[in-house]
Amino acid sequence: MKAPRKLTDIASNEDRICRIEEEDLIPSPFAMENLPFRRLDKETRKNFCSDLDDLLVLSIPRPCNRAEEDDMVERFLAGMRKLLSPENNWTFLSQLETSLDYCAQCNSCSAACHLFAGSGGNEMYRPNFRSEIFRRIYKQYVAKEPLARLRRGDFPLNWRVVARLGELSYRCNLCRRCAQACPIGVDNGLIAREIRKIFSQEMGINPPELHGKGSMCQLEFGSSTRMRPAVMRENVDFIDEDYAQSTGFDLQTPWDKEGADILLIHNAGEVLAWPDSIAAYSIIFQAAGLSFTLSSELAGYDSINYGVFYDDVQFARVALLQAQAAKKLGVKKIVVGECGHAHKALAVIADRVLPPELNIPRESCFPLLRDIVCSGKIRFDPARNDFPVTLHDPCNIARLMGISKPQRDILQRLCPQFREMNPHGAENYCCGGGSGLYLMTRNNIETWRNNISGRRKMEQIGAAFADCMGSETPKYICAPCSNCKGQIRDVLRVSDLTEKYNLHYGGLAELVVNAMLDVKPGFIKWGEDE
Amino acid sequence: MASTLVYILAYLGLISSAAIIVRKVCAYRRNPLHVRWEIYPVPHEADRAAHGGSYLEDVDWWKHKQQPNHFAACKALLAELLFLRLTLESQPDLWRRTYPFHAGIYLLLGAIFLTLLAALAALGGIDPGLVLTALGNIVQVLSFVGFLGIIWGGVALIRRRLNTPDLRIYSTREHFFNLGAFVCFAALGLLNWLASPSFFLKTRAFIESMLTFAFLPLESCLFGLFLVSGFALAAYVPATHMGHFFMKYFLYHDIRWDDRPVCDSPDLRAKIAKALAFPVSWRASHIAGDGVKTWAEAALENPAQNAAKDCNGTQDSKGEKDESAA
Repeated sequence: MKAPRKLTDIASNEDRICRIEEEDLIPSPFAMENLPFRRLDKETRKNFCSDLDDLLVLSIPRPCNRAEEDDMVERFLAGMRKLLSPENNWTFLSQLETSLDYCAQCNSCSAACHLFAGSGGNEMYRPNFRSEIFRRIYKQYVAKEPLARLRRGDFPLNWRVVARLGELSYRCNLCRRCAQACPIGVDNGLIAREIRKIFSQEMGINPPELHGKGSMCQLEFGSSTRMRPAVMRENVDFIDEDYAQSTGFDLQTPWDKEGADILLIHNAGEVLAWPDSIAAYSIIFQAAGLSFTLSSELAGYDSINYGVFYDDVQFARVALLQAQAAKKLGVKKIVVGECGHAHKALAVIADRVLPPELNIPRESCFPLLRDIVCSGKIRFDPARNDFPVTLHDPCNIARLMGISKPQRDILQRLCPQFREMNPHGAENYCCGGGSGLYLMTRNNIETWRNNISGRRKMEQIGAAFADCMGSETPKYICAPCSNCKGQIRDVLRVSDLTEKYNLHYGGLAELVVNAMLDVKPGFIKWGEDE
Repeated sequence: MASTLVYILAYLGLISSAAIIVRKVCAYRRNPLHVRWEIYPVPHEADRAAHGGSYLEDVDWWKHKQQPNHFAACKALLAELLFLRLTLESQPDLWRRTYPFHAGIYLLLGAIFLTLLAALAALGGIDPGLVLTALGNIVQVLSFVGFLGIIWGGVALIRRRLNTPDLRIYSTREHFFNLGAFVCFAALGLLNWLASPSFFLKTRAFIESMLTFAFLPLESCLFGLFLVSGFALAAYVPATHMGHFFMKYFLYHDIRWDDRPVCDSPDLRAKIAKALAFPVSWRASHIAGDGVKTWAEAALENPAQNAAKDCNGTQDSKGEKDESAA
């Protein structure tokens, strides 16, 4: 393993300061393959700041001369000053200031971090590594605290520090398990996100998957999938047709129904990747007799809000569009489908961003699903779900919103072989794809997700299914979040775990429909979706 | 003369300490409203806190009046303050060192409070009866154990910072100075405790003298030194990261546990309106803040539709090369 030995190593002239070897990785309970980290190609290394490790998320152009180097540092410091100003960062100023000022450097955060564990304890992955560098730069160069050099030592600041810090902010899933473990209340996850904001909001540098192909596409087309409303509607109509045939349930998803009680917003990516989930919600809501609709307004049919990962302004823009779509239809409430970050973004963070006229009540799909299942309106046969099921709690829903019981109420009622992961609920571990990283496959990022960030979760899944590892038993990982499903799908695929262990994944609504007596048996199609 | 100087430094120490705390708290409270960023479990959710749940687990949660259980929140904060619960759970090895240190400080604070009570009683003309004698004995014990705790814990924490490689990286001169200052103060206190028949009576006399501005001569140089170090610490600590002892309230109540929804709060609505009127000066081209444009205006803009930007790369000229890397 190559790891930084001190904080100032971030300023070094080495071509990489971190390298994880195969022997550093967490042993997996499954026969998982460790993908090799391939050296970034010469052209990429020449053009972009790729001096941190073997990954490249941000693609920061390498400065060509001294003036460009200085400019990069100056722009970074200007961004840092704005982060600490009430006008430019009212959204997170209190959280950031306190996290910069009161850390006791006890490293309690490290034990909580799945990345630190997944990297074999590499110093660069300690949640406090990036935060403390940020703090020292802030205190010495921006706050200019008295005797800063004497108190903490002189911290070097050059373009390599800036570029590496930017890249390092994307070696975090923003799951905030570190913040949960901090005895003082310091939030190192937040600091990673604030660094991302400097790069995006001040320097205009961001991962294309989140910005150009993410939030900008959502603002332009209505969805990061680039599906315009007509295409989205056509696809959902096709799903209705297809699943009506396979389930025998007369399925018709309503669109733009003015005055409906509920505007249901899915992650539009599910339409393309996991249509089962779209169909399942329409079947359940229809069977329960709910008055609901989908919207074909700009961003009104895609719950994602990637701004939550990197940019407050983009966040606010998307949230406003989603609320406007609901307002236009005159619905009583918005229900967010199975997407973790969309839950947190729209139901919680947007609460203090939306103006009063657009602050339409918003809630998670899970309590509603639980109430439907427990209401007796729909008949179920739990025997249809008589296979081992475990539940992955998406961080944004469990730890960051406090929603963990409704999912369990459903699973305990409908899945006789439900078993918990350990730890679970608010103390869960991230799937490894959090904060938008699951969208990225380029520049060794998929390798990183498979080898490092997703290991702790796979370890948990293996432990949950320890009594039935054989391929004769189909096993279901319930991951009710598009992001988490994407990450788990990729990890299963890399090592053929579905084939080797009969291991499958999917959402929660699919299990509900699978147990419905008014639907033909076999809604879950083992092996066909992965 | 030297005694008078100690009294003056004591007043200055107390005033500085209070001023720094007030300044920091006021500065924090002046900050604009922040967005919700809570982490569960949130203890004021009472019954739900056990499984890390929230009111968001209810359908139509906005139709039910939220009734946070403040007693449960105070209990959780007290458990954290008094027993360092999270440290015990995540780092028992650290807890064994830091708990004696923190407990020592709490015991000393308790001893100071009781001594102050005794001084006020004496000034009020209450005869030193059995209660005051008992109080004195308690103070004697609290201060002795407190000094020992700080010395033991402080030295152990310094050793841990020196000897644990992954902690050494994050330890600065300031950390060692702070811990060392506490150890020196406690060592001086212990020496004074051992050197006089009653540490309680000595400190009570000093507090009485401070309260009445009598400036009575101090018993010894050693006692003067102990007092100066104590008041210097009182002034210094709130200015450092150790100010978490009072800021923790805000870190927990105002950030980590702040789950207040806007729907039933006109106060929050007013604060949001104020925040949305702040000017933005972020320079990236998709924001193009000029220091005049407000947050509300920036949020209502749609740069993608306005300029029909390319969807494949970053937006600034500095990021033009993005696509090839992606």
